[in-house]
Amino acid sequence: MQTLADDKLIDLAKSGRIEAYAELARRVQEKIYHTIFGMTRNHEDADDLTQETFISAYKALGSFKQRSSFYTWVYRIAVNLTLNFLKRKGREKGREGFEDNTSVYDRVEYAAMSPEGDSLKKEFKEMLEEAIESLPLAYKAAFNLVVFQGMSHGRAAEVLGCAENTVSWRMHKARKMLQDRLRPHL
Amino acid sequence: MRCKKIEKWVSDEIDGSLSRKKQRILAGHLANCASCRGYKQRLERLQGEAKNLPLPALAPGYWQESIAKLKANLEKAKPAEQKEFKFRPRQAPAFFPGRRWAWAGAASLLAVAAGLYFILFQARVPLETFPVAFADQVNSLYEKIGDNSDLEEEFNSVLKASIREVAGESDGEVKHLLYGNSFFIESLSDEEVQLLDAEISKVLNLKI
Repeated sequence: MQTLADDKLIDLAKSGRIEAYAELARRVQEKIYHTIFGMTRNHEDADDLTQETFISAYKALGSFKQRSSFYTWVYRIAVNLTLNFLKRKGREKGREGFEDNTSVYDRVEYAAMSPEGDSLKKEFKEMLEEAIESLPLAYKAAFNLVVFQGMSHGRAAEVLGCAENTVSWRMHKARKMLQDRLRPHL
Repeated sequence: MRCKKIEKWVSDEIDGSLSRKKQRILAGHLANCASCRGYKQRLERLQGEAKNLPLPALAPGYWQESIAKLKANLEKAKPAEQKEFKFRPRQAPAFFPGRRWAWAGAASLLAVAAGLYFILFQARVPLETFPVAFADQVNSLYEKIGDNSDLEEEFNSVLKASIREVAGESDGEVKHLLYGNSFFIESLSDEEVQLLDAEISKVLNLKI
Protein backbone atom coordinates (compact mmCIF):
# COMPACT_ATOMS: atom_id res chain seq x y z
CA MET A 1 0.00 0.00 0.00
CA GLN A 2 2.80 2.39 0.89
CA THR A 3 4.18 2.35 -2.63
CA LEU A 4 0.89 3.03 -4.38
CA ALA A 5 0.07 6.46 -5.79
CA ASP A 6 -2.72 8.48 -4.24
CA ASP A 7 -5.05 7.98 -7.21
CA LYS A 8 -4.73 4.23 -7.01
CA LEU A 9 -5.32 4.30 -3.26
CA ILE A 10 -8.40 6.46 -3.78
CA ASP A 11 -9.80 3.94 -6.27
CA LEU A 12 -9.15 1.09 -3.85
CA ALA A 13 -10.63 3.04 -0.97
CA LYS A 14 -13.71 3.80 -3.02
CA SER A 15 -14.19 0.09 -3.51
CA GLY A 16 -14.20 -0.34 0.27
CA ARG A 17 -10.55 -1.16 0.98
CA ILE A 18 -10.01 0.30 4.43
CA GLU A 19 -6.28 -0.38 4.28
CA ALA A 20 -5.98 1.84 1.22
CA TYR A 21 -7.89 4.63 2.88
CA ALA A 22 -5.83 4.27 6.06
CA GLU A 23 -2.68 4.73 3.97
CA LEU A 24 -4.09 7.92 2.47
CA ALA A 25 -4.95 9.14 5.94
CA ARG A 26 -1.52 8.23 7.22
CA ARG A 27 0.09 10.38 4.57
CA VAL A 28 -1.78 13.50 5.55
CA GLN A 29 -2.78 13.02 9.17
CA GLU A 30 -0.05 15.16 10.71
CA LYS A 31 -0.89 18.16 8.58
CA ILE A 32 -4.58 17.73 9.20
CA TYR A 33 -4.03 17.39 12.93
CA HIS A 34 -1.83 20.49 13.08
CA THR A 35 -4.29 22.48 11.00
CA ILE A 36 -7.05 21.61 13.43
CA PHE A 37 -4.82 22.14 16.42
CA GLY A 38 -3.86 25.55 15.06
CA MET A 39 -7.50 26.52 15.21
CA THR A 40 -8.58 24.83 18.42
CA ARG A 41 -5.29 24.99 20.35
CA ASN A 42 -6.46 21.93 22.22
CA HIS A 43 -5.06 18.46 21.73
CA GLU A 44 -8.19 16.54 22.69
CA ASP A 45 -10.35 18.56 20.33
CA ALA A 46 -7.77 18.27 17.55
CA ASP A 47 -7.55 14.51 18.06
CA ASP A 48 -11.33 14.04 17.95
CA LEU A 49 -11.77 16.36 14.98
CA THR A 50 -8.98 14.64 13.04
CA GLN A 51 -10.76 11.32 13.46
CA GLU A 52 -14.08 12.91 12.55
CA THR A 53 -12.50 14.47 9.47
CA PHE A 54 -11.21 11.17 8.14
CA ILE A 55 -14.42 9.32 8.90
CA SER A 56 -16.50 12.02 7.21
CA ALA A 57 -14.19 11.97 4.22
CA TYR A 58 -14.41 8.18 4.03
CA LYS A 59 -18.19 8.26 4.06
CA ALA A 60 -18.21 10.92 1.35
CA LEU A 61 -15.48 9.30 -0.73
CA GLY A 62 -18.00 8.13 -3.31
CA SER A 63 -18.83 11.74 -4.09
CA PHE A 64 -15.16 12.79 -4.36
CA LYS A 65 -14.70 13.62 -8.06
CA GLN A 66 -10.93 14.18 -7.80
CA ARG A 67 -11.14 17.63 -9.32
CA SER A 68 -8.83 18.72 -6.53
CA SER A 69 -6.20 16.66 -4.77
CA PHE A 70 -7.27 14.34 -1.97
CA TYR A 71 -5.35 16.47 0.51
CA THR A 72 -7.05 19.69 -0.49
CA TRP A 73 -10.39 17.94 -0.24
CA VAL A 74 -9.63 16.56 3.22
CA TYR A 75 -8.22 19.92 4.34
CA ARG A 76 -11.48 21.49 3.36
CA ILE A 77 -13.48 18.96 5.33
CA ALA A 78 -11.19 19.44 8.32
CA VAL A 79 -11.49 23.24 8.24
CA ASN A 80 -15.26 23.14 7.85
CA LEU A 81 -15.68 20.64 10.68
CA THR A 82 -13.41 22.69 12.91
CA LEU A 83 -15.21 25.93 12.14
CA ASN A 84 -18.54 24.26 12.90
CA PHE A 85 -17.10 22.82 16.08
CA LEU A 86 -15.83 26.20 17.23
CA LYS A 87 -19.14 27.82 16.42
CA ARG A 88 -20.95 25.15 18.40
CA LYS A 89 -18.65 25.66 21.30
CA GLY A 90 -19.36 29.34 21.22
CA ARG A 91 -15.71 30.09 20.95
CA GLU A 92 -16.03 32.61 18.22
CA LYS A 93 -15.87 35.97 19.81
CA GLY A 94 -15.50 37.96 16.62
CA ARG A 95 -14.20 41.46 16.61
CA GLU A 96 -15.85 42.22 19.97
CA GLY A 97 -14.22 39.16 21.45
CA PHE A 98 -10.93 40.19 19.96
CA GLU A 99 -11.06 43.40 21.94
CA ASP A 100 -12.04 41.48 25.03
CA ASN A 101 -8.91 40.41 26.81
CA THR A 102 -10.56 37.64 28.77
CA SER A 103 -9.87 34.38 26.97
CA VAL A 104 -11.31 30.94 27.47
CA TYR A 105 -8.45 29.55 25.46
CA ASP A 106 -7.03 26.25 26.65
CA ARG A 107 -3.41 26.98 27.13
CA VAL A 108 -0.75 24.70 25.80
CA GLU A 109 1.47 23.33 28.51
CA TYR A 110 4.61 25.22 27.60
CA ALA A 111 6.66 23.71 30.36
CA ALA A 112 6.23 20.35 28.72
CA MET A 113 6.57 21.55 25.15
CA SER A 114 9.14 24.28 25.03
CA PRO A 115 12.71 23.46 25.85
CA GLU A 116 13.54 27.08 26.66
CA GLY A 117 12.23 28.31 29.93
CA ASP A 118 12.55 31.99 29.19
CA SER A 119 9.63 33.56 30.95
CA LEU A 120 9.43 36.67 28.78
CA LYS A 121 9.42 34.67 25.63
CA LYS A 122 6.88 32.33 27.09
CA GLU A 123 4.69 35.23 28.09
CA PHE A 124 4.83 36.72 24.64
CA LYS A 125 3.99 33.40 23.01
CA GLU A 126 1.02 33.01 25.30
CA MET A 127 -0.18 36.48 24.37
CA LEU A 128 0.33 35.73 20.71
CA GLU A 129 -1.65 32.52 21.00
CA GLU A 130 -4.41 34.32 22.83
CA ALA A 131 -4.46 36.97 20.15
CA ILE A 132 -4.64 34.38 17.37
CA GLU A 133 -7.29 32.49 19.31
CA SER A 134 -9.34 35.66 19.52
CA LEU A 135 -9.35 36.29 15.80
CA PRO A 136 -12.71 35.94 14.05
CA LEU A 137 -13.03 32.41 12.69
CA ALA A 138 -12.69 33.28 9.01
CA TYR A 139 -9.46 35.17 9.71
CA LYS A 140 -8.16 32.51 12.02
CA ALA A 141 -8.75 29.80 9.42
CA ALA A 142 -6.90 31.77 6.75
CA PHE A 143 -4.07 32.67 9.14
CA ASN A 144 -3.73 29.05 10.20
CA LEU A 145 -3.48 27.71 6.65
CA VAL A 146 -1.13 30.39 5.37
CA VAL A 147 1.18 30.87 8.36
CA PHE A 148 1.14 27.50 10.12
CA GLN A 149 0.62 25.26 7.09
CA GLY A 150 2.63 27.43 4.71
CA MET A 151 -0.05 27.47 2.03
CA SER A 152 -0.14 30.06 -0.73
CA HIS A 153 -3.16 32.34 -0.88
CA GLY A 154 -4.40 30.35 -3.86
CA ARG A 155 -4.21 26.99 -2.12
CA ALA A 156 -5.78 28.38 1.06
CA ALA A 157 -8.57 29.85 -1.05
CA GLU A 158 -9.18 26.43 -2.56
CA VAL A 159 -9.41 24.86 0.89
CA LEU A 160 -11.61 27.60 2.29
CA GLY A 161 -13.79 27.76 -0.80
CA CYS A 162 -13.31 31.48 -1.36
CA ALA A 163 -11.46 33.80 -3.73
CA GLU A 164 -7.70 34.21 -3.54
CA ASN A 165 -8.13 37.92 -2.99
CA THR A 166 -10.40 37.20 -0.04
CA VAL A 167 -7.62 35.22 1.60
CA SER A 168 -5.24 38.08 0.89
CA TRP A 169 -7.54 40.58 2.62
CA ARG A 170 -8.22 38.25 5.54
CA MET A 171 -4.50 37.81 6.07
CA HIS A 172 -3.95 41.55 5.97
CA LYS A 173 -6.75 42.22 8.45
CA ALA A 174 -5.73 39.35 10.73
CA ARG A 175 -2.18 40.68 10.88
CA LYS A 176 -3.42 44.18 11.49
CA MET A 177 -5.54 42.98 14.42
CA LEU A 178 -2.67 40.98 15.88
CA GLN A 179 -0.25 43.82 15.41
CA ASP A 180 -2.61 46.30 17.07
CA ARG A 181 -3.11 43.99 20.02
CA LEU A 182 0.51 43.01 20.51
CA ARG A 183 2.12 46.28 19.49
CA PRO A 184 3.46 47.14 22.95
CA HIS A 185 5.33 43.84 22.94
CA LEU A 186 6.55 43.85 19.35
CA MET B 1 1.09 56.12 -2.22
CA ARG B 2 -1.19 55.75 0.76
CA CYS B 3 0.25 53.86 3.72
CA LYS B 4 -2.97 51.85 4.22
CA LYS B 5 -2.52 50.33 0.79
CA ILE B 6 1.12 49.66 1.55
CA GLU B 7 0.17 47.78 4.72
CA LYS B 8 -1.87 45.35 2.62
CA TRP B 9 1.09 44.94 0.25
CA VAL B 10 3.41 44.24 3.17
CA SER B 11 1.14 41.40 4.23
CA ASP B 12 1.04 40.02 0.69
CA GLU B 13 4.82 40.25 0.43
CA ILE B 14 5.30 38.24 3.61
CA ASP B 15 3.09 35.52 2.12
CA GLY B 16 4.96 35.63 -1.18
CA SER B 17 1.96 36.73 -3.18
CA LEU B 18 3.00 40.25 -4.18
CA SER B 19 3.79 40.85 -7.84
CA ARG B 20 7.28 41.97 -8.85
CA LYS B 21 5.98 45.33 -9.98
CA LYS B 22 4.32 45.97 -6.63
CA GLN B 23 7.42 44.75 -4.81
CA ARG B 24 9.42 47.49 -6.52
CA ILE B 25 6.85 50.14 -5.63
CA LEU B 26 6.74 48.83 -2.06
CA ALA B 27 10.50 48.97 -1.72
CA GLY B 28 10.49 52.55 -2.95
CA HIS B 29 7.81 53.52 -0.45
CA LEU B 30 9.49 51.78 2.49
CA ALA B 31 12.73 53.57 1.77
CA ASN B 32 10.97 56.87 2.43
CA CYS B 33 8.38 55.92 5.07
CA ALA B 34 9.57 55.07 8.59
CA SER B 35 6.04 54.31 9.74
CA CYS B 36 5.56 51.60 7.12
CA ARG B 37 9.04 50.23 7.74
CA GLY B 38 8.13 49.86 11.41
CA TYR B 39 4.89 48.15 10.46
CA LYS B 40 6.72 45.72 8.24
CA GLN B 41 9.23 44.91 10.98
CA ARG B 42 6.43 44.22 13.47
CA LEU B 43 4.65 41.94 11.01
CA GLU B 44 7.84 40.05 10.27
CA ARG B 45 8.42 39.46 13.96
CA LEU B 46 4.81 38.41 14.37
CA GLN B 47 5.22 35.97 11.50
CA GLY B 48 8.41 34.51 12.95
CA GLU B 49 6.93 34.10 16.41
CA ALA B 50 3.72 32.57 15.08
CA LYS B 51 5.62 30.01 13.04
CA ASN B 52 7.54 29.03 16.14
CA LEU B 53 4.55 28.56 18.38
CA PRO B 54 4.92 25.26 20.19
CA LEU B 55 3.05 22.21 19.09
CA PRO B 56 1.64 19.76 21.59
CA ALA B 57 4.01 17.11 22.85
CA LEU B 58 2.54 13.97 21.43
CA ALA B 59 3.26 10.58 22.90
CA PRO B 60 5.58 8.31 20.92
CA GLY B 61 3.54 6.15 18.59
CA TYR B 62 0.67 8.64 18.61
CA TRP B 63 0.31 8.68 14.82
CA GLN B 64 0.28 4.89 14.52
CA GLU B 65 -2.29 4.66 17.29
CA SER B 66 -4.34 7.32 15.61
CA ILE B 67 -4.43 5.33 12.37
CA ALA B 68 -5.32 2.15 14.27
CA LYS B 69 -8.17 4.01 15.95
CA LEU B 70 -9.28 5.33 12.57
CA LYS B 71 -9.35 1.83 11.09
CA ALA B 72 -11.49 0.62 13.98
CA ASN B 73 -13.84 3.56 13.48
CA LEU B 74 -14.00 2.92 9.74
CA GLU B 75 -14.99 -0.69 10.31
CA LYS B 76 -17.98 0.62 12.21
CA ALA B 77 -18.68 3.31 9.66
CA LYS B 78 -20.75 2.69 6.58
CA PRO B 79 -18.51 1.44 3.74
CA ALA B 80 -17.86 4.00 1.06
CA GLU B 81 -18.97 1.78 -1.81
CA GLN B 82 -22.43 1.30 -0.30
CA LYS B 83 -23.02 4.98 -0.47
CA GLU B 84 -21.62 5.18 -3.96
CA PHE B 85 -23.69 2.39 -5.43
CA LYS B 86 -26.78 2.74 -3.29
CA PHE B 87 -29.87 2.14 -5.39
CA ARG B 88 -32.10 5.13 -5.62
CA PRO B 89 -35.22 4.89 -7.76
CA ARG B 90 -35.34 7.73 -10.18
CA GLN B 91 -38.15 10.18 -10.14
CA ALA B 92 -40.42 9.70 -13.14
CA PRO B 93 -41.36 12.80 -15.12
CA ALA B 94 -44.43 14.51 -13.73
CA PHE B 95 -46.62 13.60 -16.71
CA PHE B 96 -45.94 9.86 -16.26
CA PRO B 97 -47.19 8.23 -13.08
CA GLY B 98 -44.43 5.66 -13.45
CA ARG B 99 -41.84 4.70 -16.00
CA ARG B 100 -43.26 1.21 -16.46
CA TRP B 101 -46.57 2.66 -17.52
CA ALA B 102 -44.76 4.94 -19.93
CA TRP B 103 -43.00 2.00 -21.56
CA ALA B 104 -46.24 0.00 -21.69
CA GLY B 105 -47.99 2.96 -23.31
CA ALA B 106 -45.21 3.40 -25.83
CA ALA B 107 -45.28 -0.30 -26.73
CA SER B 108 -49.06 -0.17 -27.22
CA LEU B 109 -48.78 2.88 -29.45
CA LEU B 110 -46.09 1.14 -31.48
CA ALA B 111 -48.26 -1.96 -31.90
CA VAL B 112 -51.25 0.14 -33.01
CA ALA B 113 -49.06 2.09 -35.43
CA ALA B 114 -47.67 -1.14 -36.92
CA GLY B 115 -51.19 -2.54 -37.29
CA LEU B 116 -52.42 0.59 -39.01
CA TYR B 117 -49.44 0.53 -41.33
CA PHE B 118 -50.19 -3.01 -42.48
CA ILE B 119 -53.89 -2.31 -42.83
CA LEU B 120 -53.61 1.00 -44.66
CA PHE B 121 -50.45 0.57 -46.74
CA GLN B 122 -49.46 -3.05 -47.08
CA ALA B 123 -53.03 -3.97 -48.12
CA ARG B 124 -52.54 -1.97 -51.31
CA VAL B 125 -49.96 -4.47 -52.48
CA PRO B 126 -52.28 -6.94 -54.23
CA LEU B 127 -50.28 -10.11 -53.65
CA GLU B 128 -50.23 -9.52 -49.89
CA THR B 129 -54.00 -9.80 -49.78
CA PHE B 130 -53.89 -13.38 -51.00
CA PRO B 131 -54.12 -16.28 -48.63
CA VAL B 132 -50.64 -17.02 -47.42
CA ALA B 133 -50.06 -20.30 -49.31
CA PHE B 134 -51.48 -18.87 -52.53
CA ALA B 135 -49.44 -15.69 -52.15
CA ASP B 136 -46.32 -17.75 -51.62
CA GLN B 137 -46.97 -19.64 -54.82
CA VAL B 138 -47.59 -16.50 -56.81
CA ASN B 139 -44.54 -14.83 -55.33
CA SER B 140 -42.43 -17.85 -56.14
CA LEU B 141 -43.68 -17.74 -59.70
CA TYR B 142 -42.97 -14.06 -60.07
CA GLU B 143 -39.51 -14.51 -58.64
CA LYS B 144 -38.74 -17.16 -61.22
CA ILE B 145 -39.93 -14.99 -64.05
CA GLY B 146 -38.24 -11.85 -62.80
CA ASP B 147 -37.41 -9.51 -65.67
CA ASN B 148 -37.05 -12.26 -68.20
CA SER B 149 -39.32 -11.29 -71.14
CA ASP B 150 -39.20 -14.83 -72.61
CA LEU B 151 -40.60 -16.20 -69.41
CA GLU B 152 -43.24 -13.47 -69.35
CA GLU B 153 -44.24 -14.53 -72.83
CA GLU B 154 -44.35 -18.14 -71.69
CA PHE B 155 -46.52 -17.11 -68.75
CA ASN B 156 -48.91 -15.30 -71.08
CA SER B 157 -49.08 -18.08 -73.61
CA VAL B 158 -49.82 -20.71 -70.94
CA LEU B 159 -52.61 -18.58 -69.57
CA LYS B 160 -54.07 -17.82 -73.01
CA ALA B 161 -53.98 -21.49 -73.92
CA SER B 162 -55.73 -22.34 -70.67
CA ILE B 163 -58.40 -19.71 -71.23
CA ARG B 164 -58.92 -20.74 -74.83
CA GLU B 165 -59.26 -24.30 -73.70
CA VAL B 166 -61.94 -23.41 -71.17
CA ALA B 167 -63.78 -20.57 -72.91
CA GLY B 168 -62.65 -20.75 -76.51
CA GLU B 169 -61.80 -17.06 -76.52
CA SER B 170 -59.42 -15.55 -79.02
CA ASP B 171 -56.03 -14.01 -78.18
CA GLY B 172 -57.49 -10.60 -78.71
CA GLU B 173 -60.19 -11.05 -76.12
CA VAL B 174 -57.75 -12.16 -73.38
CA LYS B 175 -55.08 -9.63 -74.29
CA HIS B 176 -55.61 -7.58 -71.18
CA LEU B 177 -55.56 -10.55 -68.82
CA LEU B 178 -51.84 -11.01 -68.84
CA TYR B 179 -48.75 -11.20 -66.66
CA GLY B 180 -48.51 -8.45 -64.09
CA ASN B 181 -52.22 -7.87 -63.86
CA SER B 182 -52.78 -8.27 -60.16
CA PHE B 183 -56.56 -8.47 -60.41
CA PHE B 184 -56.27 -11.27 -62.91
CA ILE B 185 -53.65 -13.12 -60.90
CA GLU B 186 -55.87 -12.89 -57.84
CA SER B 187 -58.66 -14.61 -59.72
CA LEU B 188 -56.53 -17.63 -60.60
CA SER B 189 -57.07 -20.89 -58.79
CA ASP B 190 -54.31 -22.71 -56.92
CA GLU B 191 -54.23 -25.30 -59.68
CA GLU B 192 -53.74 -22.66 -62.35
CA VAL B 193 -50.90 -21.08 -60.44
CA GLN B 194 -49.30 -24.49 -59.96
CA LEU B 195 -49.66 -25.14 -63.67
CA LEU B 196 -48.05 -21.83 -64.50
CA ASP B 197 -45.25 -22.56 -62.07
CA ALA B 198 -44.68 -25.97 -63.59
CA GLU B 199 -44.55 -24.55 -67.11
CA ILE B 200 -42.21 -21.77 -66.16
CA SER B 201 -40.00 -24.24 -64.28
CA LYS B 202 -39.84 -26.43 -67.34
CA VAL B 203 -38.60 -23.51 -69.32
CA LEU B 204 -36.04 -22.80 -66.64
CA ASN B 205 -35.23 -26.52 -66.44
CA LEU B 206 -36.31 -26.52 -62.87
CA LYS B 207 -38.51 -28.97 -61.04
CA ILE B 208 -41.32 -27.87 -58.81
